[in-house]
Amino acid sequence: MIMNKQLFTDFFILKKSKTLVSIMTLFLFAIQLYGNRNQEKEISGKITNTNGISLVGVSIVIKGTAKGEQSNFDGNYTIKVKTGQQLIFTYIGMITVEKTVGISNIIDITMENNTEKLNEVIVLGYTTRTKNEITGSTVQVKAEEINQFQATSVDQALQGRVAGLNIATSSGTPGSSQVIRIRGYGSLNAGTEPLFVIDGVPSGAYTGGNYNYSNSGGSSLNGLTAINGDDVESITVLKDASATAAYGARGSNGVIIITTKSGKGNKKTSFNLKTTYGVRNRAIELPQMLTASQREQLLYDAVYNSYGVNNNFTREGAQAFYENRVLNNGWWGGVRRLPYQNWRDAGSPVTNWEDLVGNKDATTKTYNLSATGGTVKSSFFISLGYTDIEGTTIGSDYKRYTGRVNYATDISSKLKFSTRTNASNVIQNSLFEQGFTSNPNALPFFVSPLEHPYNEDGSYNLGFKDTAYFNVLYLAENNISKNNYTRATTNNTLEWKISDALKFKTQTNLDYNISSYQQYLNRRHGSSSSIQYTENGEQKTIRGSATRTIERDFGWSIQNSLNYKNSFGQHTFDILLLQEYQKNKYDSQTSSGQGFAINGLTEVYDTNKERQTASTWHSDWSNASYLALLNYNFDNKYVFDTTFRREGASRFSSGKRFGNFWSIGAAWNISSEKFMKNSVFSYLKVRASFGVSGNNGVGRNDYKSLLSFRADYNGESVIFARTRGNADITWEKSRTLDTGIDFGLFDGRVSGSVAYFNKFTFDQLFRRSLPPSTSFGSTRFNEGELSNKGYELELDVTAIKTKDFKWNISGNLATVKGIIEKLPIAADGNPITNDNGYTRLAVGQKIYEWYLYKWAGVDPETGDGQWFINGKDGELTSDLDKAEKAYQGTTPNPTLSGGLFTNLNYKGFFVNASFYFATGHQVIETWANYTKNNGWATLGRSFNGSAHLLKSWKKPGDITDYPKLKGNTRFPDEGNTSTRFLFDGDYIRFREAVIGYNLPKSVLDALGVRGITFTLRGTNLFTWVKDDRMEMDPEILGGLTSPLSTPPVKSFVFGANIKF
Amino acid sequence: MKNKIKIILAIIVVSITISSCTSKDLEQTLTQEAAVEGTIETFEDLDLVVSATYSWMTQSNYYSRNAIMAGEIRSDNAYSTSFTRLSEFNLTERSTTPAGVWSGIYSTIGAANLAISTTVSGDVKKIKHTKGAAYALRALAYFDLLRFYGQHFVAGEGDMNSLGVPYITDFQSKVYANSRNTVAECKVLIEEDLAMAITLMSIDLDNPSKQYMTTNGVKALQARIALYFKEFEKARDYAKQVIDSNLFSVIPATKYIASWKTESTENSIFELAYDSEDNSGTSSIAYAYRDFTDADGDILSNGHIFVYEAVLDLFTPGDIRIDTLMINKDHEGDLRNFGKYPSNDYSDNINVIRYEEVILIYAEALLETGGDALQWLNMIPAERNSAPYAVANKENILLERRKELLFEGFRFDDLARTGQNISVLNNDNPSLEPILFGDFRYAFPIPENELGLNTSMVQNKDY
Repeated sequence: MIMNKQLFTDFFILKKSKTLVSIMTLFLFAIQLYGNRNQEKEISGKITNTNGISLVGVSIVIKGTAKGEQSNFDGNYTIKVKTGQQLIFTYIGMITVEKTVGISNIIDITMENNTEKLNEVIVLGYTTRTKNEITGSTVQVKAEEINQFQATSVDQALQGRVAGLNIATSSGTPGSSQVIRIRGYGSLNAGTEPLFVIDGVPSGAYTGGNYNYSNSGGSSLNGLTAINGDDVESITVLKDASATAAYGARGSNGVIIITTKSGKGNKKTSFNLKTTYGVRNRAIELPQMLTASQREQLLYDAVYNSYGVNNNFTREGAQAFYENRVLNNGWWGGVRRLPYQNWRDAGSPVTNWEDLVGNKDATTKTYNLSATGGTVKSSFFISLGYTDIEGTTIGSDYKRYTGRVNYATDISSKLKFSTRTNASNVIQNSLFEQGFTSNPNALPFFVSPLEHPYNEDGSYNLGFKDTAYFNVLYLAENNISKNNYTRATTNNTLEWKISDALKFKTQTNLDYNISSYQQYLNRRHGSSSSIQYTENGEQKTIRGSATRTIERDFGWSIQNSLNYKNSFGQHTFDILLLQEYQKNKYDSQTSSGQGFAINGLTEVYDTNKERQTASTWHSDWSNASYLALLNYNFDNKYVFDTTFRREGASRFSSGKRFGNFWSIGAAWNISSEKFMKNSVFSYLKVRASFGVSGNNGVGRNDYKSLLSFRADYNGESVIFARTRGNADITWEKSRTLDTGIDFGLFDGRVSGSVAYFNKFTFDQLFRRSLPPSTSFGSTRFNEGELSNKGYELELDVTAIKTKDFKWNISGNLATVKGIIEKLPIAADGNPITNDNGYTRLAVGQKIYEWYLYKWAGVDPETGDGQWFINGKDGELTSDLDKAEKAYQGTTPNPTLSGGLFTNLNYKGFFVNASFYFATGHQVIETWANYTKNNGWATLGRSFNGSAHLLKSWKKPGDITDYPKLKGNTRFPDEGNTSTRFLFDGDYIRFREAVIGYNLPKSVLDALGVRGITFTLRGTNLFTWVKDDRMEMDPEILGGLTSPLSTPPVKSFVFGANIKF
Repeated sequence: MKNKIKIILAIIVVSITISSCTSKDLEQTLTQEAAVEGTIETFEDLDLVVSATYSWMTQSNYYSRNAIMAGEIRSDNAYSTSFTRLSEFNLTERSTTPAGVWSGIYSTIGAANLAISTTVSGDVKKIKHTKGAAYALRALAYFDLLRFYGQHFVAGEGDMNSLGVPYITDFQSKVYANSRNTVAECKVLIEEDLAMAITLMSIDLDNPSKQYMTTNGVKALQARIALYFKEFEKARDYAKQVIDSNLFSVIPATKYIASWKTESTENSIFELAYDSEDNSGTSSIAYAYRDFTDADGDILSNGHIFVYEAVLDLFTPGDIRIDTLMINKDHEGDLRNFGKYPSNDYSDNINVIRYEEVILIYAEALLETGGDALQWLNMIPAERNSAPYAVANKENILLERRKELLFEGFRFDDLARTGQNISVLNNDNPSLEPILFGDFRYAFPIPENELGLNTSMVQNKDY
């Protein structure tokens, strides 16, 4: 180590406490008062790290100016500066050093490794810890990463960021809910959603996840959409028991902690204005469907295949046979019309439904203005936001207004008050995404190509003849399906500093959600009209309908905690005792009516008085818990961590309510040991934790046998037993072992972690189906076990770092393998199995392993589909009744997934890219039994088929995967769910690319602002899919692709961010 | 400062008081639903539980369609183009109809069991009458299960000692794997339930609307069941009791067609109530038989049950039962039932037992026990503008049953209990072979979900 006096002084200053630094600063300041402040002189010096190694490319900037230099190859620098000015030394991975220029002309600097990352405060919900103090697996995503991603709900920003967290959007309709799984499926029957904690308060969600609203088959609305992503400071994902045990009964599926921004005290108010504008389109092309003329020829193929031989006609004669039979006998539902002839008579119109139902170049706009600042005693963060997004499918859009005030103030030196208050309003015009006949997403897949949207005079065609579908273009203009969601939360904390070490904190939270759903179905066209009969049997048509549903969710919670934190020499203790009570009330009312006298009326009020109905609903639940946390460390080297929580929930019967959850964890910060002083590891920690957390994600009254009254006989209500309860049920539990190594190499230029987890879920709240002879469908038991194991890797590499150029690559990988260890035992002594038509649960099998008939292709001689008799291999059959289902070895859940991020900075320019991938899973194309059906349902009248049907078998010897078209069967067995429609789900998505530019300081100074950034952001730019049979979007959880929901969105958004 | 501390202490005390709680404080509100225990307390409550039993019977899985349809489209009367597996005797354990009928009837039984097992306060006579009705409904439900799933007509299965169905009488039983009783055991239990119903019920409390079970309804059921099991003396005696009540009469020809749209007619003994709000819609038996088109020829309602043309030949000309309002060709020229369950809004009540059946049971029982059957047999054609029979023999009685009870779900059982084959399966598919008496397909398969979940369950032969 180079030792000269100056260095020693600097080193000393840095090492000692802040008081010393300020005294020294004062001292230097005093000295400089005597010097000539205006005279510029040359300062030089050498910059090294604590190991004495020269640092190249350290940036040296004179504070308050744009003037600067860099250290050279030997770590030396020179700079012209005036006495009294301050020099700022910055280097990636090192603590920034500030030096005031005094008498000396030589300033040598020893820079210390930036342990900022280690001292980075990680929010764990009830507490915060530094990285050194953590014994479990947690990942914190910071504001920059969250705010970068323009999403309607902040959880979307997590995709690919956290090893072991999988997320999928339920729909591309803006505001839709997400499905999130952390470390696989932790439960078979109770909830699998993680718990959301917003500003310290567990979300008052129905079963642990999040508020979600969905009405009458419409789009879903995610409750998190009420939070403006730009207001979020950090999101922490807790994965292991040492962190989740603090959340006791609801933590077993992981916890996602969202913390909003707060003001920094004693700073001048600064403003941030962010505006974006962009265009959105579908990220995937919809599969090709048959044109009308293709479909006609396939129909004749089908007629010929099934009737040609017996009725003695050739393929050429098929049309005549078909037309003759239709006109004379009626065919396929008794139609005596010739749809194809009618279509030709109408001039063979060709309709591109895909384009018509799409909203090309839909716009997206956001405006966010925030201000932050404070005085010595108080600080604030205020924001206002407006977002306006058009859907990529006609008839859908999204608008959001948000406002937030986060304010903290010291009432006295011992008493501190803070409040975080948010109000937002979201208006979503939604689609009938879960339905069919009025769903614009579904229409291109299912509507017969013979139907055309417009009449000759350009008006809407409201008389589809051969299909059950409605003209969605008309519906998009004339129907209403609107969610209007308002959420107001206020979170108030009073903190009393009893002594330096002891603090008492009380926190109350109110969370008020109102969702108003309006549906109006027009009088002329669509599903609203119904035929009714009068007393004397005459028909009358009721036209138009309206529905209003108002849901109100009100949650409140109160937390009291006592925190003791003190050090005795090298021993540091942090103890938290906490008590929490939470209650949630839900009320809803729905009124609906049918029959409007005239057009233009849309409220229930104006419907036919005799056809109005109303209903209300109320439910509530509560949780009470007691929590103790202890974190101990010795000299920052050895960390011991323990958690205990006792929690009671109303979802279980009186004696079964309370459960105990706990964890222990330990970590060894090896890099803090003396013997690691000169190693390549700038940071090294091994950690392990073990604990038990719970899951109460079941219905509020599952433990009770309940009566229902919602039926009648002879006009009177009846009483029947609706559910079979089980008063013995209690918490589902999981114990998680989590071990890991966190490391930093080469002064932190490479950092990362490797973790292994083994999560074992037991006493599962298993909903066991009961035999129908019991007259009950199912009841819950605490039985069944499953395990999820996996490895997780996170890596962050700074490949290049110079003053002007920085290139960073980071990524993560996670594996997970879930196995069913135990299932309820049935009376015969064997574990039960549970087949949902796609997957089957059985002991020893993977969780949700595909259990299907195995497709063996088309018999080239007959054109019939074939299946493996035993569901695996060997003998084939063309009779599906003779085939058996079997496990297919894969599940809908990726075995390996991860994300890759790269950031490139050159002077003011930056380029970021992010990728997400998943592999090792398979997915089923649902509705292929319609779109790839080889029977007459698809060709004859109502529906349409995929263009792949053109490859159908025609004559002996044809080698194809598309069986013979059959004119005598509506849905032949070939369309049944089998491995024929099971595809590899592997994909890589180029999720985001950002190009941006920070205006240089000289320009900013001229403009008098603090920062201007321009960005151009592309989202979902490209997706690579392994299996070319896969035509639907691969980004799903649960393994069933669906043509019903809005496909994911590709967008280009231009943004400007001004700080002043 | 002291004040401040006081305030702080006050806050702490208040907030701890609010947030501390015991298990009792975690009780949640039940406003929409009520727990089974402690809710059904009075006679009025019990009455509503029995009403639920009727309500289950009005489901399409039971009397609203499947129980009726299965008796017709598995016979020489009609066939379905939609329920082809049922119609063509090609059912498997995965088929929906056997699964639906099974769970529909067991739900009915569950409701009856709840009523029977609940002790309530109130007028003892009324309570007994209502519970008696529940016993009778349970017996009917088990009899219907036996008709569909019992193995007694399947060759080699042991006739009456073959497997029937699990006879479950305990509402909250924690036994989830109930094994099958034999047909003979079931028969005894059914008879006991009916006998119990007779003991409990009072004639003066019989509801005149016929929409609830009555003492005569129970007797008519006893007669029907006795006839089914060839206990003709019993059948004769029970039928006689109903006849001797003098409360019912054969509906005359003049009122015959209208009677199908009319509630509580003089020939009705037990019917299920429906109205235009409360019906099974497109899953109803009315829809299955229906065929309407609008002025454009577009189909508004497209039923799937078609009538064999040979059915018309059974009748003599002028018979009111083949009036064009009863059986006619639809717009496509196919023969359909228009007259039974006729209303376009599916609101007609569904007759479960009517007097004409009792007369024919009596006639058949007399024939078998050596009585004068002819005058009773001819009571029906006399009111149908039809020629009387010269002789009362088994063939004529079965013929009259077929004609009178056509489309009402009796035909399959009449063929089966008299050892006949099922000759025609589907007009559209003449290649299908007749089903010979004793074939395994005379019984439904036990549905897959029952088999999969109830390990004591045994599948029927050859399924």
